[in-house]
Formats: sequence, C-alpha cells, structure tokens
Amino acid sequence: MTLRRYIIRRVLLLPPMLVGITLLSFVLSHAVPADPVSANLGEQAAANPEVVAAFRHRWGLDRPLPQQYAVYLGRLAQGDMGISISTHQPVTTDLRQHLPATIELAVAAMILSLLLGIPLGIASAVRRDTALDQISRGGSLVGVSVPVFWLGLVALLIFYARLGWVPSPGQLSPRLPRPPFVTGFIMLDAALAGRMDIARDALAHLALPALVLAAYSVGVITRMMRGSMLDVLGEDYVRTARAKGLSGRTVTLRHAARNALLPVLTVIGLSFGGLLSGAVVTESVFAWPGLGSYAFQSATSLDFPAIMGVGIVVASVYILVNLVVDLAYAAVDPRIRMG
Amino acid sequence: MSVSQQSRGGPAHGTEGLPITRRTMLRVVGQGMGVAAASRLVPIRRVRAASAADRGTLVMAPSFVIRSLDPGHALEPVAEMICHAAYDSLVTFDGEDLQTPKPSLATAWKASGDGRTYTFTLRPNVTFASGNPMTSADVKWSLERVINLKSNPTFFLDGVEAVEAPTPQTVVLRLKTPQPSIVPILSSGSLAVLDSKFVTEHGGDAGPDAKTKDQAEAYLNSHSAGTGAFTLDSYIPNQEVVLVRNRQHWRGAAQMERIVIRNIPEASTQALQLERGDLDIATGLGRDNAQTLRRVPSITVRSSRVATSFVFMINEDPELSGQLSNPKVIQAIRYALDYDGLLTIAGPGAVRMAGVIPNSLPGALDPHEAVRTDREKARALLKEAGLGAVTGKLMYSSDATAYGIQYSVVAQKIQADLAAVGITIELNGLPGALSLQQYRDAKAPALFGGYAADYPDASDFLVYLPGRLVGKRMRWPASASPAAKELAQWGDDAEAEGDPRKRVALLEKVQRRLLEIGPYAPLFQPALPWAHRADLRGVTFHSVWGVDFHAVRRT
Amino acid sequence: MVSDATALVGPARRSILGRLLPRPFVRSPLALASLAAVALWILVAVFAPAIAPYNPLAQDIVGRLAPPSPAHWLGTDPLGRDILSRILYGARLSIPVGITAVALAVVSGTLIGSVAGAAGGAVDEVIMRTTDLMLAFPTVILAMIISAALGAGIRNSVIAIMVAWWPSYARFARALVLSAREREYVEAARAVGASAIRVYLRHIMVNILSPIVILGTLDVGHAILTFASLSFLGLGPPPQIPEWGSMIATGRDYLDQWWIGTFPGAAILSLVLALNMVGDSLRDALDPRLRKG
Repeated sequence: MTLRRYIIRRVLLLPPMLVGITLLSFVLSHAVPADPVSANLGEQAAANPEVVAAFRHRWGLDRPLPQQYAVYLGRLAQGDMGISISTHQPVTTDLRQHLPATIELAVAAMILSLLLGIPLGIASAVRRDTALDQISRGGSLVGVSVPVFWLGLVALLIFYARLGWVPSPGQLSPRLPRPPFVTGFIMLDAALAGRMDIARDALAHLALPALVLAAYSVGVITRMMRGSMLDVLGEDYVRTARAKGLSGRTVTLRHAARNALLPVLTVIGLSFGGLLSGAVVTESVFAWPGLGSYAFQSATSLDFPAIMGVGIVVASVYILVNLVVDLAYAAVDPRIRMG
Repeated sequence: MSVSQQSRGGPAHGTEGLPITRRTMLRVVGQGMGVAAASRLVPIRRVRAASAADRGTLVMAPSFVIRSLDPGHALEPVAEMICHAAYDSLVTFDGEDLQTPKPSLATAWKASGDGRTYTFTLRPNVTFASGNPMTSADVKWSLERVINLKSNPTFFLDGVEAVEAPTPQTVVLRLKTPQPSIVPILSSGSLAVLDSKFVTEHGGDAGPDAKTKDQAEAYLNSHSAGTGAFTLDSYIPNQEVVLVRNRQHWRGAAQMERIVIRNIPEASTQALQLERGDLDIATGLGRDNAQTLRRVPSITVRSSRVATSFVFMINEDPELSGQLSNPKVIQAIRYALDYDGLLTIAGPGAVRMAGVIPNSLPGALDPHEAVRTDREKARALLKEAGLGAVTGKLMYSSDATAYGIQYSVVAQKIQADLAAVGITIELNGLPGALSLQQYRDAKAPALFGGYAADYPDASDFLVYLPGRLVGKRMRWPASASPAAKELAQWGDDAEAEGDPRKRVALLEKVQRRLLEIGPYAPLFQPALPWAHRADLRGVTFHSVWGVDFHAVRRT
Repeated sequence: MVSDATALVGPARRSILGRLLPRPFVRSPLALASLAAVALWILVAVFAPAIAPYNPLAQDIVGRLAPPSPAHWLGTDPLGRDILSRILYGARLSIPVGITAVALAVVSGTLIGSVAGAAGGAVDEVIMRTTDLMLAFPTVILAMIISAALGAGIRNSVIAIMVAWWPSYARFARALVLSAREREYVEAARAVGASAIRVYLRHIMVNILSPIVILGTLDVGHAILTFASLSFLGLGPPPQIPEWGSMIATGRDYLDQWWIGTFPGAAILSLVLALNMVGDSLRDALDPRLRKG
C-alpha cells in the first residue's frame, strides 16, 4: 500500500482509538469498589446523608453509569474534562499545570539517553568486544535492571546529601517565586520573564531526575543501537562500500549509522511509554509536580474526572508519538507498510 | 484469623504534619522518598544571606493536600490554617491554648438562662479587604451559607436552629438544645466571616438552595474575601499558596509581608532546606530529623502535643470481628498492648491517655489512671473467656502517616503485642480511600486511628459513645444494652451542661464508663515534632489551625 | 513485556532443550557468573528459613533503627527487624511472583494473539485495536489503576501486571503466527491434507513457542521490577511481609538510616541484572534475530 494510504489509514483510526481510550479510562476508574465520597468528605460530613447527597449531585455521581459516560463524552467534545474532585479545579487546568513538568522531565531524559546511547551504541558495535564495548554493555544492562526509584534514592543520597552537587528534590528552590504562567514550562517562563536566575535554578533541579529517569532508556537505546549497527555492518552494501575503497570511518558513519538508526526510531517510541511509567516513581522520589504524581494522587483518591483526564492525555500522547514513529519508519522502509 | 487493625480512616490521616481534624480523611500518599541524609553534620553549603525581601517572607512546608480554600467547603488542616490567616471568626484562641476562647470579631458574648440563645456583640469599625464594613449581616450570611452548602463544615452548626442579626453590631444564635461548645466551635476558620456583598457579586449564595446555587468556590480558591491579617494572592494546587499582608487589618498589620506555603513532601528535604535557610518553618520533619536538627544552632526544634487521640477499636458485631468482640477478649487486649513500645513508635512528646479525650482538653482523665501492660493478666482473661486460640483481623490504612507515625508500623506492633498473649491477628492494609470506605461502611472488624479535634472542646470526642459517629461505625448503637443507653444519655447531659466544673465531672464519668463497657483501648496522644528558624518569634502550633502567621516576627 | 517489535520468527528449530545451555555459557565467563548468581538467588529463596539469622517478622523495639553491626549485618528497620533476614526472605516472594506474572501474561497473550493471527479478519482487527489501546497506557500507570481498583496485595499486583502485559505478547504471538503461516512446512503440511487445526497445533505453535518463551524469560526481571514498583507505591503485600519494594518505601521516611532503603534495592539490582544477563546470553545463543542490541 502506498505511503499515503498508510498514513490515511492510521490517522483515520485515531478517533475511534481515542474514544476507546475514554471508555477504557471510564471503566477502569469506575471499577474501584470504593466511593469517591470517602476520599473527599470528612468524617462528620460523610455521616450526614444530606451532605453526601449534595456531594454526589455536585459531581454527577447520582446518575446511572452509562449516562455519566455519555455526559462526559459530550463535554469532552467541547474540551471540558470536568472538575477534579481533589483540587476542585477543572481537570484541564490541572493537566495544564502538571503536564509541562513531566514533559520537561521526559524530554530531558530522552535527549540525554539519545546523546549518550547512540554514540555509545555505535562505538560499542564498531569496537566490538573491546573494553569499551564490555563496559558499555555492562552499563546499559545495569540501566535496564535497576529499580528507578531506588536509583533516585541513592542518587539523592550521594549527590545531594553527601556532595551537595545538586539542589534538593523539587522543581524550584522554595524562596524563589514561580515565574508568571505563560507556557507552564518553568525554564521557558522564567526566561520570558527575564529571570535567568530562576531558569538556572530550575535547570539545576531538573538535572538529577532527568539523569535517573534516563538510566533505563540509555540502556535500551545503547543496546538497540549496538545491535542494529552490528546487523548493518555485516550487510552487503557496507561491504560493497568498503570494497569501493571508502575509508572505514566514512563507511561507518555515513552508511551504517544511517541505516542502523531505523530500529532506534521504534525504540524511541517504545521507551517513551517506559519514560512515562518511570516518571510516576521518579516524580515521587524527586517531589516533581508532574503528571505522574497527579496520576497517583488521583488514582488513590478515586478522583474519576482526574483519572480519566490523565488516562486520556497520556494514552493520546503515547498513541501520537507511536504514530509519528511508525509513519517515519514506514516512510523509510516500505516493508513495514504491508503490516 | 488475626484481627486486622483498621486505621481510623479520615481522622489523623495526615501527611506528616498538621493535625488532622475529624473532617479530614486524607491519607498520605506515599510521598517522595526522603534523601537518606546520612550525615546532617555535612557542612552546609552556601547558606544564603537573607535579603530584605527574604526577611519579610515566611516560607512554610506543611502537609499539602488541599481540596478547597473556600471556608464553606474547607476540609484539611492546612486549609484551616490558610482560612485562619485570611479570615477572622467570632472567637479565637491564643497561641496553642485550647481552653479559653478569646474575642476576635466578637468582643463579648452571653448565654441565655436556658443555654439555648447566645448573643454576640460585634467589634465595631472592622472592614473587609474590599473596603466593605463588617456587620452582623455578614456574619449571618456566612454562617447560613455554611449550613446551606451542605458540605464539609456543615456539621459544625448542626446544633444551630437559627442565626439572627437584630442590629448591625449584634448576632444571635438560637440553638436546638443547650450546647456550650458552640462558642469554641465558632473559632473555626470555616465559620469565619465572609464579605457577603463581595462574595455574592462573585456568585455566592447563602439561601436554602446554596448547595446548587452557590458558584463562588472557584473565585474563593484564588481570592479571599475576609478581614484577616492576610489576603490570598495565589494558589497552585499541589504546589503552593501565597498570602500577602493586609495592611488594614484591625489588629494592626502583621510583620511578615508574604507567606509562601510550599509543598515539600519529603521529611529530609524539609530538614535540609530548613538548615539552609530556604525554609522558615517545617512541620513534616518526622521525629528522627527533628532530633538531628537539635544540634543546629540556627534552628529551634519544638514539640507540640496535639489534641488527637489514637484509639484502638473493635467492631461490636461478632459477625465482623468474631472472637474479638468478646468483652473478656477486649479487656485482655487492653492489658496485652505494650504501651511503652507504642509510645516509642509515636516519638518523644507523645503521652498516654487514660480515656478517649486528649489530655490537653478539660474533661480528660488523668493519664496516671491509664491501664498498665500486664501480659499475665491478659492471658488469664483469655483463659477465662474459654475460647481457645483467639484470632481476628485488623484493618488499617497502608499508606498513612500522621505526626511522623507510620500506620503500618503501629499495625505491625499491635499484631506482635497481641501475638505475645496468644491472639493471632491478620493484618489487612488497604490504601487510604478503601480503608476509609470500609470504616465508614461500618464493616471494619477492628482498627486503630487518630481522631483529631475539629474544635477545641472535649465534646468533640464524645463521638466514641454508643450511637454517635464512631460508635455507629463500630456497630454499637445506644440500643445495644441498657448500659449503652444510659451512657448515651450521660453523653447528652455532658454536652448540655453549662457549669464547667460539673461538665468536667460528667465527662470523666462518661469516659470511665466507656472503658468499662466499650470496645476501645486508648493508645496515646501524639506530639508533633517541628522546627523553625531561630530568628523567628511568636511561632506557635495550634492543634486545630497550626501556625498563626499574624503573630510571627523575625528578629 | 515484549519491547522489540522487529523480531521475526526464525526457521523451525529444535526445542530449547535440544540446544543445551553449556555452549553460550562456556564461551562467556560473565554469562556463567550471572547464571550462578541466579542460581544462588534461587537457592536463597528456597533455603531462606535455614540461612536467615533472624525471624524476619521478629520485632525488637529497643533495637530499632540500628546501623549495620556484627549482630545485624545490614542493620534493623523501624520495628527492630533484621534487614538481612528480610532481604533473604524477600526472594521467596519476588522470584515466584516474577515468574508467575510473566507466565500468566505469556499464556493469555499467546492464546489471544494466536487466535487473532489464525482467525484474521474482524476478530483480528478487534483484538489488535484492543491491544493498541492497552499498550497506549504506560504500564505502571495502568497497573497502578488496576491495583488501586482491586486493592493492594500480592494477588492483585500479579493480576495488574498480567493485564498490563498480555497485549505485548499477544502482538508478538500474532506476528509469529502470521509469519509461520507462510512457511514451507506449513504449506507442505497443507498440501499433504492436514487439517487446519492440526497444522496450527503441530507446526505453528511449536515453532512460535520457542521465541515466546525466550522473551518471557527475558521479562522475568522486568516483572520483578514492576512488582517492586507497585509495592513501593503501597499497592503490594502488607508491610510485615518482607518485600523489597516496600522495604525501600519504608526506608524513604527514615533518611538518616540509609541502610533501610539501600540494601533491598541492591538485592533487586543484583537479581534482575543477573536475570537479564542470563536472558541475553540465552537469546544470543538460541536466536540471534531476537537480539535487541
């Protein structure tokens, strides 16, 4: 099938997928046997049937489930994700406040893992079985084996408590005011407001969590890169290029690396999901006010609108990222389009 | 079958810090892993020299779960603290005092002969931050709004039949039955006086349909409308609240210009930032960090006993609690518990309670009356019960921490204590919302939890009586037995009694009887370890609303 | 959780047992060492009651929060329990849970995926879209919501992991089935007149089992990590049960007492690392095309 048809087909599948996500989120968030009343009303309040009734009515909980879902979908179509039961703010506002922090973290971690992983993987394949290769293979193996929340703890213990090289957990030092909200990305907002000191502080705070979060994906990307480089180095066209007399270095970088990058695209998409997962515990460790901590808080306080909001956003982002990666891959490798 | 300890969902579920009111049922979400600062004696890098702006700013890190800053909906202790700063109520208490109500927006009050009518004289010449003058119409409006919103604070005014404003400077409360506790109740930030004109312009409604008509909450979450020493400048959920000084405050402007309340969930982070000077007050330290901070000269470490009672409870329904509901077993459990060990877990400053009312409140029993651990006696009682090997379940909230005490640790301790006398307890830890659910559905076989004072009065703790809130959750109605009925009546009498001395005597009588016939074992009253920079004065930690920012000064 | 979608099934192979372990492991001392490490942990799990110096549940309030010492090599926790003993006993939980969770996910995923690959058409579409949906949720978040819904505990954590992971195996199994369908031996069998079911069971399943089992083995370490994460978040077993993830979570509130959180994490790392190395060597030896890098 042509590339165009492939794209159309994938894009057409988006809306039903998103609806499916809302249904899945709805089912999941309502599968909880407990009632949001417990999580959101005080002792005395919960004992008063009038108060409970008022609460249920306020949050639309007194309607049958299918109706609740229908109402939700209707509002969603207008961009309204309801009001969070925990924060009493619109879920869209909550997400707007929490999402940038996680994106910052995930993007920083992804950049770090690519910057570290790709060169390391290439070098590792080229100098196969040397000390460099062994070390990088060992390191990447450790990266995918280590519990990220523990790594965060140990990292803080060493680099924060003992050495003082990084500031305390959190996005910003307590005495520095948050910059006025423009994009939600602290560093950007600080720069826009002309407060470079705040931007620098935020960057310093981002360093360790991003590194810790990157540990897993560096491991995956290094291994992946090494593997596909090894594959490619054995391919015919490489041998041909060498036979033609091109220098070893040229062969490596130009031909092999470019082709070896293809599978890495897939890995980027896949590790993105891993990053989001890892973000939940990383945000917990580093007191990072992002989507992960919002998700955890919502899940445990039975905040239906928030759980659904998080589910929809996260899944949508993931689907989109994968779509882009798949499309890129398909554009490059015709075999994939055949499905 | 072991007894699973149920945590008292709700009350005293607090993230390491402020006291949890009965209205609160926040369990701490397993917050960030603390940094294992193995050596606090590592030299502090870069202690920042405080700039002028810094000096006027107070940064505090309390437990930071907030659902609403609207006094009509407020629930959590930190919300109470913020309302206390931005609004004023009719009466208040000084410092950490829980015994003597002091005038605030009301300068004097009087009870009628039959105890059912209270007349308050309002302070003249008080204006809201908006410029509107404060009058009795505002008081009436605010209180009626709380009643009609049917939200978390509504129960405070359950005993109120009507609020009247006969003159602009007088407010009259008509009660359904005599209830002297109404005066301390009125100190709550939720019952603060709002600027009725201003809030109505922003969607507020205090009429009978307020629960559907009132739309002011969104506005009140980002702007305050009170007479308080501070006004609400900004609120970012889960991150921070900023208050700025109200220069026109009737008590005189506060010294602090800005109050920044930040969410710093990890105890060790709070400790380190306090040392560095990035933080001024930290209430979520946990006792081990607090201990270490004592060695630091620039920090003052405090310990404030909070009016919270931790009690172990058993469900009276044998279908749920099995053998545990046997009166001899309950007694045996009281003797089996290792109270000293529990106090060690609760940390320095925690004390025994003989009854269910915390020692800070008049009406509490003398802690020396408290039962002593006696494992021999426990075993003997179990033998008398003749049940063979006793088993039971204990439910508790697996992720809760309050006042630096991890519920799971207490649960395991109790399990071990009872195992020592031959009672096998099965622990059933549930995440916060689920544990609360079970407790409120009255399905908890046994549990323990802290019940924090919503207001400074012993009558708040009568909830343990048969037929009252906790009694109901433990399936102990007043009709359970003639003794229960009598006890319930004594409780009503104590609540209505106007003479303070007679009241204390009644409350003591009630508690002793409660221990004889009820399914409770009082464990301890906790103390909150907290700390602040040594250059601050006037910092107190009240059991209900925490820090009073107006009183804080920097030297 | 299968993380490499570009793997293809290889030609028909003899079963795994036909290719004994010794070869890849003899060649690489590192692989041998990791195999020994895994074996050691399994031994620890089996013999923990015999080798642990203390009862992992025994509390000692007086000796609580004690640093590592000759009496307690790894120190004690907030209730005075010996951390070394709790770590040893923790293996008895983590290893079976990791294996079970993966096994359940593999079985359910393979079944569903094979059905999708075999049936084709609408059934295939529906199943594939469902897996797409479920794969769109990051694992931990999905597992977290499921655990929160079902309640904490070992059983529910395993269920959560299974529900979160079966889609990956389903997709993989489907891809394998689709490839296998085109193989010569299948066509040959068909030509001979074998019934469709026979073809599937005899030829296809046998040939896809090997790569799936390998991938499953590779994922045991990941399952152990995920289970520890859920425990860390408070969604695992009750706290008195020695479990590495919840021990780290406890350590989090006792920062000065660094040993409480550090050692359990080191245990997780050593076990998962060894498992991953064994898995890598296994895969390299048996089917290089499954190599991830």
